[in-house]
Amino acid sequence: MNRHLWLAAACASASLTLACSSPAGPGPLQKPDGGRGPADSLLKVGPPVPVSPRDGQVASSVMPRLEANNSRGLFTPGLDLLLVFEVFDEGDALVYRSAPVAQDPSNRTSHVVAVALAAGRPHSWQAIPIRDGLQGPPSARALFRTP
Amino acid sequence: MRRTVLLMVAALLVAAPASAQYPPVRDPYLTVTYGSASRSQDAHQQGRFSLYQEDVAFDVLHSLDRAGFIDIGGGARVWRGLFVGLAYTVRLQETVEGAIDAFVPHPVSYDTFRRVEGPVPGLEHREQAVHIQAMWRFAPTPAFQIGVFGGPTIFNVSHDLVEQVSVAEVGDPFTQVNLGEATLRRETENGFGAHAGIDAMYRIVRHVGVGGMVRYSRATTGLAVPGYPELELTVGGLDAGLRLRIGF
Repeated sequence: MNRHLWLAAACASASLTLACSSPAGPGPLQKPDGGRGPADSLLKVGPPVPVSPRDGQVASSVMPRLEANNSRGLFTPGLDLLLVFEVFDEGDALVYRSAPVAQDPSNRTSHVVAVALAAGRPHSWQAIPIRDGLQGPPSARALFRTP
Repeated sequence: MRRTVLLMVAALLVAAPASAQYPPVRDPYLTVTYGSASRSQDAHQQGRFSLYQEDVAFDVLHSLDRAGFIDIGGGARVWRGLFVGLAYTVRLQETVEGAIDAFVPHPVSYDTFRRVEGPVPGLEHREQAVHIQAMWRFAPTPAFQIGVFGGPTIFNVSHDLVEQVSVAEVGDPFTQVNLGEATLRRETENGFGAHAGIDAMYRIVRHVGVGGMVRYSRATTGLAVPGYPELELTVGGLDAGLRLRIGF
């Protein structure tokens, strides 16, 4: 009888030993790799759309008013964004960059260029959405001429 | 698995000659057992799904604990005290609460993740097993019988896995996010393992005995939502229960 009890004890001990071992887990949770938007954008927003001047229009002044439809969040409607307006000369050199301008709630934001551009020359401009120092996708370039 | 099988074979080889001094039990039998299956396992399920043009990475902790079980079995003698038989075990349904830990991408900024944790209630786990067993039975006294048994076990496991989880933004500046309801997917898988155990029965009338049973069974199964890494679950565990035995 004693031999059987020893046997039972041995079986139970071995079973418990096996019970304590578990399969290895998958390891700690890893943060996914981050993505980027179009044109290396760091914001998940749509680009602003130039309204005027565009398509080679002649601006009313050498300090033209630039007007763009607002940038919008792809997943967050009503997002507060700023726009920066940039103007380039015919050699594609940056000749003007505005301070960030809060987007107008009317969905169209305008800005008057604060320097006199070279008269009678072709130029282009774009608007870039900004939030918390991060830059979103720029608008398409819009072409115009100064008077 | 190999260790368990070796253990069972050794147990039966030792038990057989050791019990030679006792008269063998000859009757075929049926048993019904009710008891508690003891185990403690924390298994991690990881997955990813797309949100806001990036990935949500999540880890769900599935904690399995004690559960009740019912076991029905039977066997017949094939040689001296050696019986072969089958036992079917079903664990009573378990609903476990998982815990999710996730990296959720920001809805406005790329490469900005919020770490969020929360419960995942209502994960169901079902487990049933068929034990094919060889048992050596002997009777130290006319009323008292002992059986040492073991053999292969086929498990069938059904378990709820998390496929996705919804998120609810708290609002601008989107530094906080709450986890919503999880989308669950029930996966079923078979596992092949082994079992070994001992039962002791006291005969209360000519064909009926009562007693107890202790059995350890084990197998590892992998359950996965398609496209996700597997959740490795160890099924089985240490079962202990009260047994009613009917002999013929």
